[in-house]
Amino acid sequence: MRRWYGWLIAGLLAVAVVTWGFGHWRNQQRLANALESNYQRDFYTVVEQVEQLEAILGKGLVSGSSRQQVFFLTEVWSRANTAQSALGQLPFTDLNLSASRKFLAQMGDYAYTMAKRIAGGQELDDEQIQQLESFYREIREYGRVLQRTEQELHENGYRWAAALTGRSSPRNQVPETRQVSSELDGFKEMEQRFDGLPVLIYDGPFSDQIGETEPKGLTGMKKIDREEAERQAEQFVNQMAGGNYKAVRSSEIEGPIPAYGVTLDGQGRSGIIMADVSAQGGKVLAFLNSRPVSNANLTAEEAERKAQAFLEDRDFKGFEKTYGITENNTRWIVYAATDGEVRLYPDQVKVQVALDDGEIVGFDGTMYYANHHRRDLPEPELTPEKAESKLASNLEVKSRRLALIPLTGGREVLTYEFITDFNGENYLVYINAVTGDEENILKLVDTPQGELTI
Amino acid sequence: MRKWLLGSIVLLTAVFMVSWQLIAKEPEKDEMVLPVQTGSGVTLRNANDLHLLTRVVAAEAGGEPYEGQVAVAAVLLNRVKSPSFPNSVAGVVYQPLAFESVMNGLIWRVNDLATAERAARAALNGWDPTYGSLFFWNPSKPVSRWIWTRKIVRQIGDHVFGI
Repeated sequence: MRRWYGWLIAGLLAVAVVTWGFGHWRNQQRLANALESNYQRDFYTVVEQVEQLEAILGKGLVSGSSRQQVFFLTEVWSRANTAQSALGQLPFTDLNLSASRKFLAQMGDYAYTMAKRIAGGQELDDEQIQQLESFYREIREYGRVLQRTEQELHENGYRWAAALTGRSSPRNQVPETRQVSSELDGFKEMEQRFDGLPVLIYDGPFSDQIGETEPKGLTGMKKIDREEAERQAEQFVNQMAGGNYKAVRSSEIEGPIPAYGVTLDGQGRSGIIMADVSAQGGKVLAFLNSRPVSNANLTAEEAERKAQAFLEDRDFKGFEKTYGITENNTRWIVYAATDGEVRLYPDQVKVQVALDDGEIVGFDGTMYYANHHRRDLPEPELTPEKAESKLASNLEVKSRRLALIPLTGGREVLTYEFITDFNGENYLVYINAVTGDEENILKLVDTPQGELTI
Repeated sequence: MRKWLLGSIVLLTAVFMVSWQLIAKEPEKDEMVLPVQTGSGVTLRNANDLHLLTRVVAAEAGGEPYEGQVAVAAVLLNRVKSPSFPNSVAGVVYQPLAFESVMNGLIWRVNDLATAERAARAALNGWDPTYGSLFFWNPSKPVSRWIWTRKIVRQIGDHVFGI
């Protein structure tokens, strides 16, 4: 009798376990298939867009009509972005495809920059046409290799989602011992090819940099050592009322602006300050105070007066506030340098003020030191009235000033900045003060924290 | 007796549901609703981008000093701006195998977000202690040889930042 019971319970348990396990296995299969479908779709998107890119770029190269060229080049930009984005969502455990993604993004950006050039009434020069032809050769090869890869993946039943199970870990934590699946050789081959392409310099956001760009605001200054950097950091920070910060350690920073990272302790004040001091000239590039600010006693205007005084104490003279926002009981204010009546947007510094006691808890002068130099600004060739006549007629002008603005590719242009009203919303419109071209439009958004631009 | 029991069950259920509503409806702190160009040059679609950035910072660098957290947020934003990476915050965060904490779900379990949020905002306002770095890793953990071919910019806390 008892034995009979025992067998029954064991049998029921076994059935329960098998049912439970089968249910889990089936769910897991469904999830794996759904994931695999996504990856397959992303892969086909890459292949399809690369094939289309070859065709469209080819048409752009043979077209004799500038209207058609603009159309084809804009489509290259759009499809290259789609391909780049799909490629970025495929899982590769042991393969880094940085150069492949960069190739697609740069090709699109370059085509877009050329489209803008043609739309602006200019013709492409020989070098630019050769560059587009070079892109064409690369994308044709890419398409050929991807078609081969597609065939191999299909024949071997490759599953992308399999990369995510088992011993998978983030790319930067994978030991080099594992071999890349041979089906993915095509990706590897093209990555090596793209990695060997020469640097590409043009007027677009994804242009390569020409070597190391020297910080313009530090040229001619002399090198300092680590002890001097610590002294400079202490001096800069302790100019604040009641400051008694001491440097406790420092380390080297080997970025575009070589510097020392100095950690300062407030001797009883809460919050550690980390300050970066340039190795050339010993200037404090930026600092951040780690202390949280829990309440606000100061108004935005009072905070801005504190920030202005902070800048003047440290010899940042003639700076104008460009905008400010309030977040987490602190006020962030961006200031731009001026040259006579011209506002220099590239030469900006940012200050963060704690609204509890007015302490400066953040400073960033990196852009100022990277860009600031004596400029020979051109004389405006347009009168303000002439520039205003270039604006769309439906805009109501509220104010204007001369401003130097940065464009992509590291260029700077002298413009008239118009703050305008369109249907109750504010737009900033920039008209080149020399040529009269419209260089940029920003939309001002009033958020509860302050004004922001789009 | 039974009535009393029933009453307390109803009461407990009500208390539970009300408090659940309170938890679920905790207002978001941020009111940004439009795409906004931040000081870092990255356009945020809306406040959700900030929350996502905050979660990755908390999960990847929760125990790091404040500046180290700003640095991790800055690396994510540098990736958004780089042609070698996806061009949105979500694209960068959800890139397969890019972040351990996204793979193991830690970003959804972290709950101490205060410092990480401050750090994310500092990076969005343009602070970049990594000077353009695209990678960060912990040198005391096993890492691939490839990552060591990157040019190291600096170390903050337990993380090394490189281009």
